[in-house]
Amino acid sequence: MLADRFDRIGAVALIACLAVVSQFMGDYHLALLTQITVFALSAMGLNMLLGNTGMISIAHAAFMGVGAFSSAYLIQNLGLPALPAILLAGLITSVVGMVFGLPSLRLKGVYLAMASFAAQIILYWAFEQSRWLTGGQDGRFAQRPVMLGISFMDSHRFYLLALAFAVLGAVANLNIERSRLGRAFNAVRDRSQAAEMMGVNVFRTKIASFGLATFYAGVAGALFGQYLEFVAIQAFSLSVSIQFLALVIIGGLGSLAGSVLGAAFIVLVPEILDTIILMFSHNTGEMAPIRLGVFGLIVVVFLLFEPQGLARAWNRTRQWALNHTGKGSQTRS
Amino acid sequence: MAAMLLEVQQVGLNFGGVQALTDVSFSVSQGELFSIIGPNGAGKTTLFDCISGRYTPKGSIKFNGVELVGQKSHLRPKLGIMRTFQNIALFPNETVEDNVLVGSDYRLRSGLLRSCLYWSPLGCSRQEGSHRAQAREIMAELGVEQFANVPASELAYGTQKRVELARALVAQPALLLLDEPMAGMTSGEKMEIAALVQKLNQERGITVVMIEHDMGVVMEISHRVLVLDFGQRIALGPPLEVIEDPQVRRAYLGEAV
Repeated sequence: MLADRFDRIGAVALIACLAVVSQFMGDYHLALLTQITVFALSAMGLNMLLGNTGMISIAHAAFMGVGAFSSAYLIQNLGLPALPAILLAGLITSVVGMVFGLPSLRLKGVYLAMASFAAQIILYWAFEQSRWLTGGQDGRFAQRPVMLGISFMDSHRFYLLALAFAVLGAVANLNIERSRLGRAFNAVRDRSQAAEMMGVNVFRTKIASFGLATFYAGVAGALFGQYLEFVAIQAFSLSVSIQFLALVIIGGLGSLAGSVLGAAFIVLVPEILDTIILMFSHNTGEMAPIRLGVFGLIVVVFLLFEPQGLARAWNRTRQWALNHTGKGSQTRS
Repeated sequence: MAAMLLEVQQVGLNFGGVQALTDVSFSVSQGELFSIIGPNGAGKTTLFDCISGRYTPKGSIKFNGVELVGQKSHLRPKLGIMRTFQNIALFPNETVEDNVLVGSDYRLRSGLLRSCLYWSPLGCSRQEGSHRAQAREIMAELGVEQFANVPASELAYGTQKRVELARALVAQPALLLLDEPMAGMTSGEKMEIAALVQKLNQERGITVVMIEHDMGVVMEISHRVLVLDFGQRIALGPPLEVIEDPQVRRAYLGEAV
């Protein structure tokens, strides 16, 4: 189908473009791009949980923290090579995530939100207490990795590593969506009782969704820590978790494009606002509350006019482009 | 008579003081087309919900000799029991094809890893493809193939009922529970569905238990009819016998005796 091919070519072109352009970027822009990429990877997990399976989590940042701290510990204290350490950190986070996902068997909606809120509080408290792992309030250092003999110490190189992880995450995301598990996720979201009678093991499906979402969070958290070369517990606070929720809602629930666009939105809009504010005032500190307020306002206005998120807006643009490049050929998707 | 496929014995269910079902017993033999009728609120759908595991009643429900009471709902399709719902329980945001494929869930055992590796030799693409083909075949048979990529919620009521039937059939059930498969349909559509149900029963040997309000259809195609009223069995037998039963006439057809 034309639409499929359009997407595939577009995606490959975008990835190639990012890989090349990033290498010529200045530090500031590269930092933003790396953050978007790592956030997008993390958001894919949360989006599969919330968008595809219909289960909310207000603890996503805390799970990123589990990944960040455990990978730093595995590498520095236990001397594991970076690649296995990152994957193992993902698995550890996944196990923790599945345990905290257990209440989802009984709880839905607001109640599940409260249970995951509790998970955020518990994990954050555990970070504060476990100085051996997290360094407490002081935080701990993390190293940029050397993988398969290649050093990713350099920021430009590290970006390529983050991009590679994000691409793998995206491919896995799409593959899950089109197979049995993806359908089971959606069935549980839409009507869990009917899904159960149609043969879907709802309990296992929910736990798998939690395990998957937190695996993404763990790997993204590990990369995030290595990128910053420093892991501080404040980076995984409740407000960051809520930011991730906002990210997937603004981006578009249940959509891979939504995870990516939402990450770009959440990272870029505050920066753009800063730039604008700097034009009027030289004291950004003084203007910080205004920046936050304007950001909130943009989010509200956006949700009012495009409740299905950036992915929807992107789809419309895509359709328009297809209709104009396909020379009148029919496009159905 | 052939072997009993479904044996319901002394089934009772109580909702906070309301006796929804009281000591209901009947059995359905292999290959039978069995109908359940009764006024609204008689407990027909509740009985289906007991068989498919939504409720855990008192008494015993045996399928092929296996006790169902207390077993998890999601094991029913594996045992060979599929159902449709009175108020349509499709997954509204998903396409018709994806809806139908949920019926394949218990036969597709690909987990996370095989899903992630979709196209690789270890992946689940081949298995997915063969189930997709089976789903397409059944969708074509039920005349819903042209809606394969349409979200279920966008379809007309009658079409959604057909999609539900397709979802049940893709699981290759031995026993099909149909909850008002013809409700809200035109008489032309009803005839089509009735013919289809008969065909499934005769050609594929699927045992059918059907809740239906259209007495014409029930009389026409059922081998036996169970009549429920206020959660109790008031009659059971061949359609012509049941319709003459004075208790049935009073309860169901509203005739004074």
